[in-house]
Amino acid sequence: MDDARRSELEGIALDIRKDVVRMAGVSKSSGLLPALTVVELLVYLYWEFMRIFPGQRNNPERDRLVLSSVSAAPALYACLSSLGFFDRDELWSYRRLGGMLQGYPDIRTPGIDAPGGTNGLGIALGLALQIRMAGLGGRVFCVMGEGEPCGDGLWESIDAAAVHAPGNIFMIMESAGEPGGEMEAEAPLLKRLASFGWKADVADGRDFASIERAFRSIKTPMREPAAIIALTGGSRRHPDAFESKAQDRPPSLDDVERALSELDTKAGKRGGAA
Amino acid sequence: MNGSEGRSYDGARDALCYIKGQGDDMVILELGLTRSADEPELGGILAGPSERNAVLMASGLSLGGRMAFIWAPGSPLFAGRSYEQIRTAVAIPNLKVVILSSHDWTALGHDGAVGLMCEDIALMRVMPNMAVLVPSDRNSAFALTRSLAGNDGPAYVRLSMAATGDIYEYGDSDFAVGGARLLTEGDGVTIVSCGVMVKEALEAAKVLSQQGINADVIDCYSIKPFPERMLVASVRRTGCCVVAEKHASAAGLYGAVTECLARNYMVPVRSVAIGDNFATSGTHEEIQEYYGLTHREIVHNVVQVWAMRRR
Repeated sequence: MDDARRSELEGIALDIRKDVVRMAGVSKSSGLLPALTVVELLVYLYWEFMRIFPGQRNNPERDRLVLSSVSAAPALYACLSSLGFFDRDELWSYRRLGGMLQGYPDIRTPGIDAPGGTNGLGIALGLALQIRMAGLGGRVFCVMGEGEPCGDGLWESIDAAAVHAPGNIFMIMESAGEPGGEMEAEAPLLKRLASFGWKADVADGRDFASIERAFRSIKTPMREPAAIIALTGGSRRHPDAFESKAQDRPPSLDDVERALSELDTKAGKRGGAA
Repeated sequence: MNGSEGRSYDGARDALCYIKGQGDDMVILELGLTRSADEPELGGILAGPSERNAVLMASGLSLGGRMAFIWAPGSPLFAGRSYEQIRTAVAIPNLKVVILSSHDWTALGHDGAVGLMCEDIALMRVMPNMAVLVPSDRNSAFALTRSLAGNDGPAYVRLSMAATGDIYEYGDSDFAVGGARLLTEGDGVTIVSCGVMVKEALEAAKVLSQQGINADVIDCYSIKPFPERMLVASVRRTGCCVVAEKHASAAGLYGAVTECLARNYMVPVRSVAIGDNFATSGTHEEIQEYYGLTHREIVHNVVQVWAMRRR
């Protein structure tokens, strides 16, 4: 990835992050902010890696994304609207009565490939098997939130995916770890995935070059299912303007303005350093 | 196949083989680690032992464009174990997934309360979009499962390993989601039953006719959608009703019948069912007797309700 493309993707990610903050402001809920950690991963997948056809939402050759992470929906919606799947104004009625965008991804929404809110890996496995049986070339990407390896039958699906090994399934697991840190959480996870027959790697989930290195090292069709543990820094990445708020107090318009300019400043600093 | 005549389990299995031969727009997921060596192969995907994962895989297969049938022999707890996955990944998106849970609870009677689930119809019936079907014999199970290939949403089919004998002729195809069959006609009482209790209801009707009470016996194989018009037309003639099912007395067929009658035409109703109990261990026959899931118990309840019938 050259520097020009990298800063282009960073610009897109900034726009998505700002839309997520605006969604949090409009819906008066700082509970939407955990979606910020997954933005770079989604931007990389949708703008760089996945084959998608926003004009033909049912194109059988498309890649699919299954969002298992329950907190990431606002970021996914912001990405899909930016790609032209639906009007950006829909973002402002997220979770509102009569709005199109449901709390958890709903397959009636253009661009949504699978229902969200439950262990998505099993769904991704079924989709991947069906795509393979139909002789299509699509790949399936399942995005997992941080706590998911600990709950709700995920390892049953991890096992089943290794048994069926459809050759076209990727799992991206968010981890709150810091890149360059001690790998306290990631090392055992890598071992466990390997013992289940997965090929697993770690990437800096905030850095497009690192994300790209991880994805490009996987050649489809793969013999084993592939997992990328993406270190995204967790809630440390929320804008300070929201962080200072007590959890139960809704963000004000002023908070939103300050958070937006904070995101701009941080992005400017990073751009200057590059 | 000694002692297995008329099992709905076999009818559904035959139907899956039949549908599979008709085209490749369906897929079978077989729950379990291994396939049974005693039966002809279904040729499905071996989904592993996890009910939850099987439901999620079926959701994905259906999202990809294929109707998915989950064949779950030996998993009487299916509806409970995978309730959240059925709800989120199948029923909310209204996907074409059929769950064939192939034991009703007494067929594995030796397992007792933990291994036996007599609340499955209730669990599946309250779930929006879900069709709930309980065929009464091999031939109706075959026709119903076959008809599900054309269904537009999810369905739960409760099968039985009990040999009930044939209630319908081989080749009878007059079964559909939302339907019911009137097996005997009378003006004394309406007996509504499903699954293995249909055989008991027919026995009860024979005894009752000797006592001068002629029964409408309805095989209510489609618990949801519920065949409301047939039931209401029947109770308008008879003025009383007994419901027989191998299930908890709450929220199953009895629940569906009483909700329908409360909306349309109130008559006295009695329930022949397991009651508000977890089942105990025992053989199929012992448990039938112990909980009163017999034609004698149906007759007993009919006599009571007939005395109070609406005229």
